Amino acid sequence: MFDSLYLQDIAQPMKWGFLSDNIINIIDKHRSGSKKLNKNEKEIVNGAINFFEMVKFGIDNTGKNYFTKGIEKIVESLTVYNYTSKILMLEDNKYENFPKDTTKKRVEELLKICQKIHNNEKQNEKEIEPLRKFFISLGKFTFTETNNLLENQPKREIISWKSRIALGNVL
Amino acid sequence: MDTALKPLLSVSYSSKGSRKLAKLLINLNSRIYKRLKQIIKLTNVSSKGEKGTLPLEPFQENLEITSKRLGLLLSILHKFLGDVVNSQIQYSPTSFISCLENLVEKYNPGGYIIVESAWDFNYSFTEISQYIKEILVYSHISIDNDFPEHLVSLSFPRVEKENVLLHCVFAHEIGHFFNAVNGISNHIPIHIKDPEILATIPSYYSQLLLSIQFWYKELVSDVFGIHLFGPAYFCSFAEIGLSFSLLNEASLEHPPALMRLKLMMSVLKDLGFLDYSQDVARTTDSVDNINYYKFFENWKKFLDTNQGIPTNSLYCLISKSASAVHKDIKDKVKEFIKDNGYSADQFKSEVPPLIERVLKLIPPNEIIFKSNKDTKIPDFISIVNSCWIVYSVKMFSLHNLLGTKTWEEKFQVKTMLNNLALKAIEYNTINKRWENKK
Repeated sequence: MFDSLYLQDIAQPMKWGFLSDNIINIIDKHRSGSKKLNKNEKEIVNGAINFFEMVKFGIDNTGKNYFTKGIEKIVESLTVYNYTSKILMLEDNKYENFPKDTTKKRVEELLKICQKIHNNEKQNEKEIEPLRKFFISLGKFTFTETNNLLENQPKREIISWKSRIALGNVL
Repeated sequence: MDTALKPLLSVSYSSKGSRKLAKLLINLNSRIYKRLKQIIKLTNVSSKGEKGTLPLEPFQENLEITSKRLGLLLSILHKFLGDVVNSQIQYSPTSFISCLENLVEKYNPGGYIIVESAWDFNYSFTEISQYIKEILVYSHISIDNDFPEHLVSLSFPRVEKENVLLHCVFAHEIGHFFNAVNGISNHIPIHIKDPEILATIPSYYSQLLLSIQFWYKELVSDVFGIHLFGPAYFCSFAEIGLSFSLLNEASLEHPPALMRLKLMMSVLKDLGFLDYSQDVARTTDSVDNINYYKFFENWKKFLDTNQGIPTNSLYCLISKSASAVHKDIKDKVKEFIKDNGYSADQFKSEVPPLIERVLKLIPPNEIIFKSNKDTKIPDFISIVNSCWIVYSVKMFSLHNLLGTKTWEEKFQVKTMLNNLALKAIEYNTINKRWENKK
């Protein structure tokens, strides 16, 4: 059986991977002139908008040391922020000095393209290409991530607090 | 493939959730194959370059990755088949599982459990429906409307099938279930102490929050464990910890057992399980030179003086954050469970007469009042508590009674104690069914 934590690790790349596959189809439909989105397509575009909103949330909250609640949302937003950073670094072929602000700016641009698709606004191929490129990369990245997780279940690190004291002395 | 899976629907399982999951897996399996056929059809049309098709190469590339991803999805779903197969009735302590189902029904109507008998020496919990739904949300693969919102898999070590005392660890796994359904750990504040360490090692941040999330879930489930099973959960958890010498070990997912036991001990105290009770003391005192209270007092002393100190900075941060919210965790669980948990009053009234039965080697399934010979069917949790107390503080009496000397003989007495508990739970389940029928 899966343990819950392992399944949580796998569910994330699977979920965002399916989103990538489907948003690419929608983008292709959008740029080939068929612009009106049906209900299912709107849900997928909303999913992409939600993805970028979460990345922004992750960027804004990284490093904070106090939250009143909502650890699940914070953890998920950090995961998608992590995916996004890796993809943008790869796109720019830049593996160091990739500041949060640069990521945020790029994410906001991608978010705008998504919102225009959602609102059926006209966009030319050049305008829409960064979004398509991003999701192709995300699709491949999440596929590899899932595959790796399925092939190699991560070993859980165990650390010893301090040496055991014989319980026999007190019981 | 469907033909291979359909026999799963005609097998007997230890709990209702297994058949639900088998049905879901069969349906999803056929839907994924249908989707794969559609993709093959699209790829063929596209590769012929028919009029109106999308740009050839990227379109095909995307379809290829979607089909491979569906293949990964199939392999994930097929792993769940193991949960279904291993939850067949012949591998499980069915009466105990039936009691667990009733417990789930009491707090979370509409929730389902699958209890898998696994070869790992471990108890575990997996939230199946939540993650299947999450994976499928953007996949265009639908789930039937009647699929339960909450279906979880719990596993226990198959080699310990008859060890009902150890199965009290399920209280913690059920706690995970209630936490998952009600998002309790999600409402606990996070306060990272010493943020300066964080500033110097920023890569810690994601791992730190992830670990805090995991530790919160464990601690919340422990508090649930005590509310649901009382001292029996504390004892079964300590038994597992002591068996593997893991009391002072922690992982990124689990707090050290010492921290967990200390929290459990404070919940036992808050709920009144450690208040002096003449009856419990009387029945557990005498030849063993230790009674129920002395047993817990010794544990308390041990835990107060042996809390470990983490040896690296990441664990130090996780540990401080988790230690700071013990009160919040206790309050949130209490808010959910209200006064419906297993109470100290019930423990004090039901457990002493049951201990007397166990010490006479009679299954503790019934309380007979000496005054008027009236009888009462106890809660199954009182049954396991009575056997745990005998195991913890009265084994010397049993060994004396039975004249056991060697380790093998002592082990047989432990097995006998488990058999008494199992038999009592079976009788208890039958009695409750009769009562319901009336």
